[in-house]
Amino acid sequence: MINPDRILPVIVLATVIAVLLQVPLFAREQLVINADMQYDWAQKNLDEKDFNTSLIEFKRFIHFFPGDARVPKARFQTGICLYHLKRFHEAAKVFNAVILAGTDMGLKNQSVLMQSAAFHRMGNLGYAKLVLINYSKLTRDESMKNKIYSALCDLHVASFKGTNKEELKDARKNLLKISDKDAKAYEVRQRLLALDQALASPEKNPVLSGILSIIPGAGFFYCERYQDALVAFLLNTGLIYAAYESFDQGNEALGGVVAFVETGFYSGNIYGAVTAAHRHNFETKIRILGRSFTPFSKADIEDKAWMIGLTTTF
Amino acid sequence: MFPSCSEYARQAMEKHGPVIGLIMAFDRLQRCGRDTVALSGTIIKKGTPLAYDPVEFNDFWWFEKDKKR
Repeated sequence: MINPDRILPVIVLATVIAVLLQVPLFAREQLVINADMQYDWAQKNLDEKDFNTSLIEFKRFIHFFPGDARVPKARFQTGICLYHLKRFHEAAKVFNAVILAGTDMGLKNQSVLMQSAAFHRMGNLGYAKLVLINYSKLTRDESMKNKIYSALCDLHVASFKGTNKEELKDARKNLLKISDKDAKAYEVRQRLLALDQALASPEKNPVLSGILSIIPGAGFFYCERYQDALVAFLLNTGLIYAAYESFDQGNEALGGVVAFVETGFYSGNIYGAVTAAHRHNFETKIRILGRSFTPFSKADIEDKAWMIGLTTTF
Repeated sequence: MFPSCSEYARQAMEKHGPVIGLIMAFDRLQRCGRDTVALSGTIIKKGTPLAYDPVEFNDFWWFEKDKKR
């Protein structure tokens, strides 16, 4: 008769040995991911615009296959993913690392342009220009230089805030540096024409506008804002008359209050006329430039919407 | 218009102090709903199109925000 006390330990031992030896009863199919599979999977996600997954998978590729020849490209692609995820500061750092590694000139060139773009999207136009200016002095590749000059032209136009016309002149200088063989590709002639027209566009004199506003509404009238001019004239002359009548009839308290309010509106009328002149000049130039330039990133749209009549949704 | 005149006044005084802010507010009151509407871009707030006229569009010629960073 079989003794259960002796059989049970044997069964347990056999089971343990079977598991350890991976007896076919417990065996599973294994999948070994190699470098090609990992890279292709990461790239597939990038192509499908799943930037979160692609970022993770490219990082996984770099971690597990550090000796693979595609690591610099994978690192660059992580920068691309970060850029599209709007993590611009991190993207700029990644591109900087690729530039410093400098093993592949093609990647290096792309990284310079992308780093500049990342700084632009962060709103740091100064650094965006500096990256390109520095690299233009280092590279001997003519086509890369032309790309840089074109990008710098766009950045200078994007830096134009209304009173700093030097930015438009600098944009022009960079356009002129583009070699003749790429002039057509970068639409040099059209962009130069737009810049020249913007620089030569008729302007309203803000000082004159302010001086004219001594007569309420005259400054607005000069800036071709006729409704504002009429309202400013009627409102200010009405309040001046009201203050005069109040004081004349001995009602100092009322006269004082009306005079105080009128001081505000009169000052506002002068300030508004000066601003109207500046806005007129800025708007005219941006409308001309908008025909040939698209320098505005989405980050700029909020700033520039009123200039080019866009509708934005918040 | 967006922002509203009262909100515009509040932002202007917060940004530039009571004196300049008040002057900008009075300027906005005189301009509100007239030529600025035709000249400004439009934004959609809660399904309503509004003329966009923030403080930044009226002080850009003398105030540099970079200096404040």
